Amino acid sequence: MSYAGTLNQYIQLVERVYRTGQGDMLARLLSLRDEHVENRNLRSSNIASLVDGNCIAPLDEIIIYHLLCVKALYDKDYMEAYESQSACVAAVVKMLQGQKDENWSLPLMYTVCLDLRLVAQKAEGCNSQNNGKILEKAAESLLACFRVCAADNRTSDSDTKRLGMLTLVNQLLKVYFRINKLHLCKPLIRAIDSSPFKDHFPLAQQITYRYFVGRKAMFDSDYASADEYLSYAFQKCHRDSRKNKRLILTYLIPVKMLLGYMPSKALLEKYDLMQFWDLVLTVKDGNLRGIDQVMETHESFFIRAGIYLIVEKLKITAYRNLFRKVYLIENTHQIEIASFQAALQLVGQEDVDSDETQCIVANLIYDGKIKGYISYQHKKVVVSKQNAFPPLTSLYQ
Amino acid sequence: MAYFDFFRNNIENKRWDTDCIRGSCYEMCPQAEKKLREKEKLVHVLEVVGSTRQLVKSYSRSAADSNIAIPGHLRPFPVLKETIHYLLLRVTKRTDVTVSCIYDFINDRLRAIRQDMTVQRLAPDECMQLLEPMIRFYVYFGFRQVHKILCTSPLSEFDPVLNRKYLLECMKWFLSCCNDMMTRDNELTELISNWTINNADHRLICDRVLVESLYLLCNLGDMHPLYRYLSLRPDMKRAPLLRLAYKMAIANLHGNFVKLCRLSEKLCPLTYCAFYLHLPTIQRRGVSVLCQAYSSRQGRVPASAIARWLALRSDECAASLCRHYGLTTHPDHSVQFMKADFKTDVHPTELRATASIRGVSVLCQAYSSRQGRVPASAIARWLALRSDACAASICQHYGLTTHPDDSVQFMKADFKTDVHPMKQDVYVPDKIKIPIQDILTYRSDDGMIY
Repeated sequence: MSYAGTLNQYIQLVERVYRTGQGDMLARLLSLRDEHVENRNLRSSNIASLVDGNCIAPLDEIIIYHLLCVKALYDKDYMEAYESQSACVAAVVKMLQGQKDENWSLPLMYTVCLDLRLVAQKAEGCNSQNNGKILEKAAESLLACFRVCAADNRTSDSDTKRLGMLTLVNQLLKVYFRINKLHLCKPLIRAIDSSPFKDHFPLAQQITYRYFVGRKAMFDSDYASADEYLSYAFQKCHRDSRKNKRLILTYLIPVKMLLGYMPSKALLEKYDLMQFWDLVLTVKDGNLRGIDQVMETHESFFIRAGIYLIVEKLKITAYRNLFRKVYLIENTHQIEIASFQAALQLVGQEDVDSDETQCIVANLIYDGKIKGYISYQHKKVVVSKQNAFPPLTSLYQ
Repeated sequence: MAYFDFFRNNIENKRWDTDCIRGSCYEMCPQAEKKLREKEKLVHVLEVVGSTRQLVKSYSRSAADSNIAIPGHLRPFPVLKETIHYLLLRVTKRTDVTVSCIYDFINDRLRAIRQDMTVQRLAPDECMQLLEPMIRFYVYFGFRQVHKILCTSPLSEFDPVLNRKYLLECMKWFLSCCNDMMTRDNELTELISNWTINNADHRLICDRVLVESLYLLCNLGDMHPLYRYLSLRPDMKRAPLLRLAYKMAIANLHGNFVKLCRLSEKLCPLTYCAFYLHLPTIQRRGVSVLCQAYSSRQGRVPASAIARWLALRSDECAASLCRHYGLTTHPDHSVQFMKADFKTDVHPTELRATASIRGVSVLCQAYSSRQGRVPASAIARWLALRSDACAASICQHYGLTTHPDDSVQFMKADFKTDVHPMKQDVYVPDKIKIPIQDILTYRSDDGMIY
């Protein structure tokens, strides 16, 4: 909203919007991302004294801290901006607590909380010594909002502030993933999963939520759930949100690959994720040396995305594919351990001896990826006459 | 964990040097406590050194009515350093009391040191120097404890669970200090890697590579230490010991027990101690994998191969491990792997309880009869074994016949008098048979060990 009036006019406008309960409008008037922040008249040097007494409580406090934050941002003092925005959120919490049986002001809460996270990230970035401390504090402010919402359980379903829970949880998840405190996500996830509004939250929020919960499941090695959450997020995500779709795919692809589904080249090209293409080729081929090279080339990408260890796990799939090739070439149901060993050496595993080869085969049999048994005396693997190497996709259903 | 959380909260206030309490007690024990303990006759036997006394501040819980933040009761960093040095390198030399007595004493005094550190909010570099030797202490005694349980009484005074709790507390604290150091100054870590106390031949050091490696190996099977490793600086990742620990964790991720056990031979003493505690679990999974893969009516696998694959010391060990999990072994030291035989409900550590040779020998004499059998459950009860399978496998060990219904046939003549008490896991590699002072002070990059 472009706005060129005086400070007084601004205050009156905000107050009118507040009195008439226009949540979305109020949110815009107190957002750091709205055009009104460009208005020079709102950047007076003694904001507090000008607003004080000029406006009803608790709105006065909210306006003061909002404008202080705007001023600090123009001065490029991000620590100060963070402190002001944090106080603004606290004032909004107070306001929410006072508003019984109504939830029209939720949009304001969403806006100040989102702004708080953005300002905290900015403050964090200015000084590497902070090391997540500011975001951690911001999370505490967000939790204060969350508590007000979660505790509002006597109001009717349409007016309850509990409808605001998921938006806050998503903000918190973003913070926790950024500062690498995934263990703190668990109570939030439990709160949402047990909520009666679970499926009534806005779709966009549900997608964000599932994206993070899917990533968390991936970190916890629960690949079936990760697949479920991330697939939902990918399918429901708006087709124009390419950046988000790409982000989801960064995690969904390795998870799918572990479960035996390889992505097509067209998909990877479409979303600019060709880092995975070499990986797909080498895994399909059972080329372990190639996997090591891919991991080296894209090491920083894989580590940053937190999927390096998943890629490491894909080596097991590569072993299976390699051994399957040996089986097809030998064209017999009794394959020498030595043949497998030779194949391993061919793909760069020179230090692997007969014992280790047997261990690798034993693990594949144990996981059901090869049907058959090893005969120690004959140094042979005897595979089943039918379906000796069942498709990986059939193992996880 | 309480210290750790407290510390994390405090660290937000970056003003370590101003604004916080500085201790002014320049002895290992505050005067007030000294007087009180001498009056109340609470001087520990290890605090009596010949004709003199060397009291060390003992741990006391911070209760609501007690104020622990009295400068006169708190020891500043140099004194804490001296205290830890005294505890770990001097007290451990005492031979007039039992090892568990020494452990309990040192553990208590170390807790008091950590309390002083927390209250004074010591800077991360100081904390690291104090925590590193503590971590070594807990890792080493974690090994000694389990080992002791194996060798002697199953009912030991040691509590491995508590020991592990303290170990993780110290380790997490240390690692979070590393993170803070990293953001403050990358080079500082290297500068403080040496202690300067040099009373004896031994000198406590601060070896970050060792702690990072221990973190990986103490938590084998957990993904989080792996993520941490990946986020470390490249020069740190290249350190040979840490690289080895990472390779082992990846081998474990792949379920490749052959590689895992093989690599473990290269570990330094403390990392081996950490790995050792996972060995029974690794062996259990190993036997279960082998049992699936080699399952066949005709084929057998020689125990020697299993011993080689699972870091077992002898064919006898391998055979008894397999028997423990319900598999059939043959007199020629080979094992019959049958999928259905593997007992999934047997705990990996049950094997550790070793029955006294005397117990079995007495039973064998007393119940000797061609017709009668004794159920294994009864023997388990009598000899404090945790399962029937365990009892049966011990009886087999001494040459007795067991029946599929888990009963034992006691025959006087069967009892083998020349068999040693079950030595499943009581083997100590030579590299750990070095004085504790060496264990607590060696440098992981010396190359002296591996």
